[in-house]
Amino acid sequence: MAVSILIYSPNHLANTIEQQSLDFGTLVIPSNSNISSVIIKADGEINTIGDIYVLEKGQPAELLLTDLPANVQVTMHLVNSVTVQHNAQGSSSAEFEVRLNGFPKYAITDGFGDAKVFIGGTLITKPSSKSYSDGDYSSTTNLEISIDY
Amino acid sequence: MKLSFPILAVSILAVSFSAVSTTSTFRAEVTVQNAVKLDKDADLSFGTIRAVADLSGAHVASIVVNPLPAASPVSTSSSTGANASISIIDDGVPASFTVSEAVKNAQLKIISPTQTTLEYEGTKDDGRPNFTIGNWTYVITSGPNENATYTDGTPNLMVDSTDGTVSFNIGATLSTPDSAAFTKDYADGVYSGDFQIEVAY
Repeated sequence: MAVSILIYSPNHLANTIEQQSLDFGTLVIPSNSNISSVIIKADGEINTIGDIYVLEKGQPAELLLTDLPANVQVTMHLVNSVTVQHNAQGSSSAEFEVRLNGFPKYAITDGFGDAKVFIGGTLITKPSSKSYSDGDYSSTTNLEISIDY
Repeated sequence: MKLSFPILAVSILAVSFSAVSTTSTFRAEVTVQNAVKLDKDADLSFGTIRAVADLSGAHVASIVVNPLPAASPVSTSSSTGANASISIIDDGVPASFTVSEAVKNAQLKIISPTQTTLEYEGTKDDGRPNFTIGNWTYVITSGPNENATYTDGTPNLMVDSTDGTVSFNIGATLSTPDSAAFTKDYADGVYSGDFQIEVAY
């Protein structure tokens, strides 16, 4: 009788490296009286809702998860929201809200224990008397990713 | 005698499913560009004219520059009476502009200039008449609505679907004054003004 038991119990934390930020591209927002949104899916597909136009296409974020076991399927859960503000100091421009979506539920690590994931998001206007000034808007925030495997 | 060696092999793979968490500094960004790029290709010129103003302001002479690219002649003149006249010596040229970096297929609107006069470029003399300018007209010269007259009520300056550009010509009407505020004839020389035009979504 032969009995073999393999027990694998990882005891380390994974790391993430941002390789590409979540970029909604260049937009035209003629008015800010109604809610409009731009949706970028994890596969790069872009949709718009409302009075908003895409001048240059954006792209989903790209994260590299590292220090995971090799060749395993990892499961991720992530929900967060971010307020994206005009980069110009003192700007009176309206703000955006960004909701992350399209986060892949699963990823397969490679032989080095790395997995590349793409994260889509939704950019939502905040209707107000303020308009959207021309320029760059951005926000940096910490995201927490839990990985089950 | 028959011997029997039963072999029982049991293999168990036990994996302890674990959860780990990690944090990442994450950046979201967007650029807003509500302004389009507007480049002037040519200034508006009413050409060279002989102009006589009615110093009583009763009669007004006018010259119209047609924005149609194929217009011939480009300029036409008229007068409401014999005391004012404009005669065309050299034909005028419509102004032309090109919009770029605009959303493909977007309908843009044109906001006409607000300034209304052309002043003598030489030595200032309050008694010398100026010209009034108005009746701005636009003809679209590229894109889906090429050769169409621009309509204010329902803006039809439609951006090309391939390169995000659209071009248009500007014509206008130049007139002698309709007031008795002036006491002298027009002087030879250049009368000009700077005008601002706006194109927006």
